[in-house]
Amino acid sequence: MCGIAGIINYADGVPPSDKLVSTMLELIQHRGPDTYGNYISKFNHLGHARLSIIDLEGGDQPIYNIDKSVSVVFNGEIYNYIELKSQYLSDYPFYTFSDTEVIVALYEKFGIDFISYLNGQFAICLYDSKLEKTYLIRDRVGICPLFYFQKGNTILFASEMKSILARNQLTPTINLPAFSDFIHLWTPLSPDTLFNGIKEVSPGCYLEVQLDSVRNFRYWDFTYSSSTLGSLREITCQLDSLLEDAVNIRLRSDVPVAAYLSGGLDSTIILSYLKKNGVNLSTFSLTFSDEQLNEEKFQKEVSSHFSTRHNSVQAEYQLIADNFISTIWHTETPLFRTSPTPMMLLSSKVHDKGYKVVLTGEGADEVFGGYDIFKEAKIREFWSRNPDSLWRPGLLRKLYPYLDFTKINSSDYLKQVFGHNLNNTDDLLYAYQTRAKTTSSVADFLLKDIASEMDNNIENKVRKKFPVTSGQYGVFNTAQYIESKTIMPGYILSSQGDRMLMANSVEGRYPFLDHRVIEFAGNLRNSLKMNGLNEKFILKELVKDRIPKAVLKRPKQPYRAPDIKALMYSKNNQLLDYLSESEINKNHLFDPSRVNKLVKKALSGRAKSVKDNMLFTTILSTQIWMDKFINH
Amino acid sequence: MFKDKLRLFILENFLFTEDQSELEDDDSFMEKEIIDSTGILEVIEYLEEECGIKIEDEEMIPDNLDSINKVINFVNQKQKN
Repeated sequence: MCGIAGIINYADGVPPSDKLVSTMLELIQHRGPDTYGNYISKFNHLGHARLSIIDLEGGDQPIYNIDKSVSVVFNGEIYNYIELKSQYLSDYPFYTFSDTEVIVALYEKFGIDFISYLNGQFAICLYDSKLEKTYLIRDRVGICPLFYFQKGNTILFASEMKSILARNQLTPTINLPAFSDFIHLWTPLSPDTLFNGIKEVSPGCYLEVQLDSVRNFRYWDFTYSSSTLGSLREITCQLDSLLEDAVNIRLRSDVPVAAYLSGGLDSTIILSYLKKNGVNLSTFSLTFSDEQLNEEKFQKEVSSHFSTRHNSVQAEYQLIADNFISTIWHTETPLFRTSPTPMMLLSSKVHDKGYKVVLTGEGADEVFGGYDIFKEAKIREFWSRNPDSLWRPGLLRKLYPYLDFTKINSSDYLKQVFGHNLNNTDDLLYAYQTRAKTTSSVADFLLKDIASEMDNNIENKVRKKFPVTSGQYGVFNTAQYIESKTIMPGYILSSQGDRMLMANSVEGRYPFLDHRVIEFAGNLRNSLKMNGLNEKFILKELVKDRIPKAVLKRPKQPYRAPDIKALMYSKNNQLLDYLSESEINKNHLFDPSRVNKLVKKALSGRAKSVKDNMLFTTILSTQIWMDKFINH
Repeated sequence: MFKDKLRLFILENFLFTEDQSELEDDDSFMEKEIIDSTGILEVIEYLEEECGIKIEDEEMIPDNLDSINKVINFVNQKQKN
């Protein structure tokens, strides 16, 4: 991965000082510390900070076509560039061995439709000087970030928003409607961001910028059907070759590749393919002192099974607290959990060991139906068919054994917690109602004048935003769709993914998010994904003879990190200072009296619930975010 | 009076306020989203410490614990027994 930044359509045709793009690139130097490159024309200035991975000598950007009428800066990887060259571009006069040049060559051959040929993760700026068009293109699922700020027909774009805020190009203010999305769904609804004026190019979309227009086009989306017929064996065989190729093409690199190992099913599956292909591999894991969160036992078993060179980082409370402010600087958004911080500590270890690339298992839960929230929706729908049943809601108890409330042996509580809007199975957010109820309690801490600006009818907003209708896909696939369009790009792949990896100049590669795998899974009948309440059934079938039984049979454990317990360890109470009355008043978002009571509860050691941890982390991280970006 | 103490505990620890108007004696903790699923355990812990009672598994039901009045009736009953 790399960083890109630049300006399209200078206002009045007057280029700003070269220093603007230089400053924009300097702010994202962590994404591309190896080389810088620039292209300056009559209309555009495109900049590139490179993390060299493929064609170390020749791959510096921008890359051009022969007559230099097409220029490209690009963050990401095109994994099928070798096949594209041999299939479509055998006569093209390449001057590098890089995947970037394939973008230019394919564009010349197919025009903007070239995107559909790409298999990879990418944020691309392509300028065609003959047509006087510039394209900002983002990969299908949102692995690589791409933000922009439009002022008239001038556009500033960058891999991270801090570049757009450079040199006061924009006075940063908080986007309150987007904050409302954030406290319901953990992320603003794309293309909005938490900054007024800054948008992202949505996953699966591209912007076409001309001198007098800016237009957005969608070229890809998630779809679901049950159209793949065949026996379990036949389907498993097809998936096997697809996943094997998805892993193999993600090994294309001129620097060594390592892998993350969580101890769960998904990272273990990736290791099984690497092992099959004889890759001698280093693995990297996180461990925690809290037994509930620690997966070390499984990590060691998998590492030993596949004979990897294993490395781990113990995410101590103090380390999490010390790195929390820096985490927010990189995520550019507040957080509901501290979970991203240990991921930054892990990528630091990867970097220190001399690696620039890791394969990782994100995406499998969204694509193959692994999350508990999908089960929750399935059980609630099952229960809604007989709301008086005492047994049906009891199934929910199996879902969250790690949550304290399941110790309470009363179905009445389950009914109260999960029975909300039980019969609204056509709601796009049917699966999310319980979680959103907890996370949106942050709104109770907002000052009244701020709360009044929030639009809390999130179901309506989601309906307007997404091109699916209620009932189109059924409860399970709708939940998969919403997860894949909101939390996956907005949190998992960004705050917990790209940003934490790139903070230490490490690129993540995601075999489960190969679009061929996504499309294959999208066409499978649901019973192959969630069989009864057995999640990721087809994946388990696929690897049942290849991975340790302990991993295959273990209950799913979501990745979590300690929140309040860790944040209380900050040096000289540095983090608590952000929650002082004066700091709260300065930002004019939260009610200082309520925040004070929450802090007191946290200090007393009584704030143990999921809700308290979430409230504390969200309010603290919002205060840090305001301090670093809005009031800076 | 224990009822006032309990009310203050709920207000300060779950609503994070001292504003008495935010909680009626018959308000359902769960329906009004005052206490979430995990918070019930905090209430139980508090009652056991403050009232010197032991709450059995089968007593952890909304009928006993889901409003100020329900809790007070339940605690009174327990202490009588």
